[in-house]
Amino acid sequence: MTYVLGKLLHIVIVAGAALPGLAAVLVWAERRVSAFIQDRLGPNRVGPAGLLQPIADLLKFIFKEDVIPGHVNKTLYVLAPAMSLVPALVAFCVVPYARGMAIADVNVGILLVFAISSIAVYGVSIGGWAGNSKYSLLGGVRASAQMISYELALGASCVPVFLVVGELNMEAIVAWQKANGWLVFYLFPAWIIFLVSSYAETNRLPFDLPEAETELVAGYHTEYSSMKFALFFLAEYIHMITASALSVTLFFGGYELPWVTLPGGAWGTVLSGLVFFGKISFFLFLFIWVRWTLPRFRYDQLMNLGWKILFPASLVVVLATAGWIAMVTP
Amino acid sequence: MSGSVNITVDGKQVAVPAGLNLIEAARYAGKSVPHYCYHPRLSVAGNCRICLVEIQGQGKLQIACNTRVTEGMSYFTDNDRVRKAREGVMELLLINHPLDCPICDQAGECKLQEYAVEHGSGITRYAFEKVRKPKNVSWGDKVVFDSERCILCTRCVRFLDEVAGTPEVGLDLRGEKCTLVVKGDGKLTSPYQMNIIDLCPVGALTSRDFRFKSRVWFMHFTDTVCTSCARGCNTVVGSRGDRVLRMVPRTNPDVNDSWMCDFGRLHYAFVNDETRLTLPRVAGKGAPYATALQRAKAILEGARGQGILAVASPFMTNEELFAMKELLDRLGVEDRFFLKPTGEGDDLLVHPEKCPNARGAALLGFAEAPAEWPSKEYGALLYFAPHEGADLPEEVLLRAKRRIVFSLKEREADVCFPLTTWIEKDGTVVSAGDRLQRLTKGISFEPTLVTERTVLDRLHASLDAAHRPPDTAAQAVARLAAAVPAFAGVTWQRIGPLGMKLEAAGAPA
Amino acid sequence: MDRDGDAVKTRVVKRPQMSLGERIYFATIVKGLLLTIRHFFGVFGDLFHWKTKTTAITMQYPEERWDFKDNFRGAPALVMDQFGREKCVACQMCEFVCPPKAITIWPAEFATTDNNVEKYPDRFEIDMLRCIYCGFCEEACPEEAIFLVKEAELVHTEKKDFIHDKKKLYQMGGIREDRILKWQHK
Ligand code: SF4
Ligand code: SF4
Ligand code: SF4
Ligand code: SF4
Ligand code: FES
Repeated sequence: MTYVLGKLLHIVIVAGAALPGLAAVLVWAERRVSAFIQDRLGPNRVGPAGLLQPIADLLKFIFKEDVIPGHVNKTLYVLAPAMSLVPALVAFCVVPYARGMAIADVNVGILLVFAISSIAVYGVSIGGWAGNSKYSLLGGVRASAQMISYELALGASCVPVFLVVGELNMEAIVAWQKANGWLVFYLFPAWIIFLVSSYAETNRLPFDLPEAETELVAGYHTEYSSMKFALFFLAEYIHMITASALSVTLFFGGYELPWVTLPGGAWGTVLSGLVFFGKISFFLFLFIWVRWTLPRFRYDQLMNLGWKILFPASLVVVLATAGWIAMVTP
Repeated sequence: MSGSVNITVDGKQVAVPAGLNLIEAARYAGKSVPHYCYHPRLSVAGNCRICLVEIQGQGKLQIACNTRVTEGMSYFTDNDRVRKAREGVMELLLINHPLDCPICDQAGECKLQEYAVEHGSGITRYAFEKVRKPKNVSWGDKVVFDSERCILCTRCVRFLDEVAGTPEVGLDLRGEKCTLVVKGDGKLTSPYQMNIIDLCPVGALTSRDFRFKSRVWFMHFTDTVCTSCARGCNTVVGSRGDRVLRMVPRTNPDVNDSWMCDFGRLHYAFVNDETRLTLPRVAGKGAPYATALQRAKAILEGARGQGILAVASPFMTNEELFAMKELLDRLGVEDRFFLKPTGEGDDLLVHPEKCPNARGAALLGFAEAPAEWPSKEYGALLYFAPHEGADLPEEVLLRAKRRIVFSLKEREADVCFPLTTWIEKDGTVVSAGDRLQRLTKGISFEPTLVTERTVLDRLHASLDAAHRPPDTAAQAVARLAAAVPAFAGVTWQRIGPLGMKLEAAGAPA
Repeated sequence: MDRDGDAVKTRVVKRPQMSLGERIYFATIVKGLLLTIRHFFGVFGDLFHWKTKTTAITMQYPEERWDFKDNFRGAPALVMDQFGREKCVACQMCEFVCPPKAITIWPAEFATTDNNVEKYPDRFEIDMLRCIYCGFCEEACPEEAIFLVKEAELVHTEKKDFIHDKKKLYQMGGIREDRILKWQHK
């Protein structure tokens, strides 16, 4: 019973507070970083350095009129934002964000992430379908094609990690890196493929074609407003967090530091959490940084990159890793 | 002065009636000669010199207004010499002219402005202090005089002398001090004095009544006729925002030349009266037209056996009177009268009948109100109250059980319909000398108002589904012409802006 | 061939070919990332008063304000002459010229007859919801009585507040040296 209650509390804290909170801060960061990159200041009025801006945004979203346009498919229209947010939250459950702290410590961890995050595509494409307008529909179609294509490369780019570590359990992967050094040094090409694919999976620039505003107004969420729109938005940022967390866990040593050994016990958990936070912060920054640097791909370029370059490259990396392991293992 | 002469204007040959002056003759060649002091209906003064033209064979330029055409004459209205002369005249006129256009009511219809643009040089070479003369001088309660703006054309002097017959304005002093003065205590007395305001080519004379009410370019102008007496002087009504602001005479040689009396000119306050009735009243309460019409219909139907008294107003148009006549025919009403306000007349324009259409009412079978009203009791009274000057005696009113009254202001009645005034509808009236003239709609006082003709026709249609009332004024005139011999052959088009003589009406009744 | 059937000379423009380095992307991406991060740290450092090459160009609006040039066309306002007298003579030229019909004037006559002006605006209203800041009124005014001042921040919550009456117009316009002095000269 206490186990169940404890788990529930854990879930509520992570999915109900930590992730949305982090996503909110991320929105603020996105706006300020983009401003700095463009020689502007960004939102700096609400609270110190504009830190309360996300709260203001949230209040605004909540108090906006919740419009359900007359021409939409009501059931799907209401369902879609939830279908997009829930997988994003669930996918995070296996990520060990501090020592011994993952909501579900399952031995097929990473596979679960892939399984669940591939459901996320439904939220987006159903949202596009339910909007019942050409812009949302095109956005939804693009999103499904794009996410399915890059999932392959994403999955394949992780295989070398499993080959090297010999485990699917995330904590085990972290432990291996603590012992042998960060995997990115062994599997740099795999990481690059992972990174690029994760940008495509999260619909972030330079691959944000599902919502390409120049041609599609706002893509799959054109018809959405107020809190429903905010849920889509939230899902995108939580996906970013999950992607960064995976990158950190799989390639950058997770919550552990190289050379320095964190103390055990409660302090160790807190410190390891901070380490993890610091690491994903860098990757989140990278997301933003890239977004405000690179222009958007054309759709055919996106498909070419996914199918003709990244996917074959990831296969090559898998084979090469396998061959390498076969050579070095006695 | 009979026959015609051949002349050449700016190289164009035309035949013009003999005896014309060069300004009028030039019109036959499609040329206009600028003029200030000349006015076709006044004697020639020849003092402004803007009308200079070059006559072939004569060394000096001549004033066109005081020169008459002769056979074979050739003159130029627009060659270099003439243009230079005009430019000079304009420059001299403007030397001392104040920069008053922004505060001058004449601006927009000022000959000085127009000619300054057309014929002036656009600059002044005069660098000295301008002459100061009296400004804002009151010439009584109707006219304000500004000596600085006056160009001393003496049109006003000549009008009062020659037309109004009251020579009360004259020139005083000489040279740059020359100004106009009014005889006696400096106040004008003529009942036609305001015509000098229209005559004045500049803004030296302005109307106390109209002063600063509106710039002319904001106004909407309507050609119509004055309804203050049976003369029916042709007028132009200036209105803005659906309110009448000013009335000026319109030239019609057969009726009023270019003049009108001050009384008629200033007599429009009842049109703009904001307390006028704009919706019908049923038993003292405001009601929509539909309700009022229903009630009126019930009254008329209920009174059929007991007799109905119909009293028309001489302020109604012929078409309204005819619509009333049709309704009365339908109801079988015998007692049809109209009230005629009368007053003083004079031998210039003012007519003793103080209403526009008493003659029309008579032609359409209404009898002038008798001194002794028939002492019958009536089931109902249908009464169009005259705007002013006459009213039904109280005891006649009381003799009817039910009363339907059309009135400008609210009156006690079972049903009281609002009247519309002459400027709110198209229609015709029979002026003095059996002259049929057109009224034109210029404003709509309130969008809710419905004209009397429409009310009568709707009432008629509610009693008789077969009644197909005319729609436009032209259709109404056609219907009237077809039914009433006195109006035979009349059409809206034929009446035209200047009216026509009703030959078929016979001798005045 | 063009529309008239004449032969048209054409010139083939060769598209620049991307070099291998460019086609691999990575170097250029890194170049781009370095560029943006330089700007990022420029503004970031500027917040802490470091000496940086790039700084934010943002103007902190309510505290800092744009310094409008003298010919700036803000809200129209009425001005008085140096003797504190009303310059407007209610000629209604501005009302006439105003394209969106934002101006309404109710002229009135002075009770006294001892000045040149004779006429003044009893009420003068400009509906700022209609005004398009074209400046025609300023151009049309023969008395140099109406000017577009540097007033550009018109924020109200009530529609009626956007109708500037005479008091408001004079308060915005203030006093301007007058050359015309209609009160004194002809
Ligand atoms: S008379 Fe004519 S020119 Fe003179 S001030 Fe008046 S409008 Fe202007
Ligand atoms: S007041 Fe007018 S009409 Fe009379 S002389 Fe002067 S300009 Fe002529
Ligand atoms: S600026 Fe233009 S729109 Fe505004 S009041 Fe003046 S004339 Fe009218
Ligand atoms: S144009 Fe000038 S003087 Fe004339 S009404 Fe307008 S502000 Fe007054
Ligand atoms: S019009 Fe001929 S002199 Fe005045």
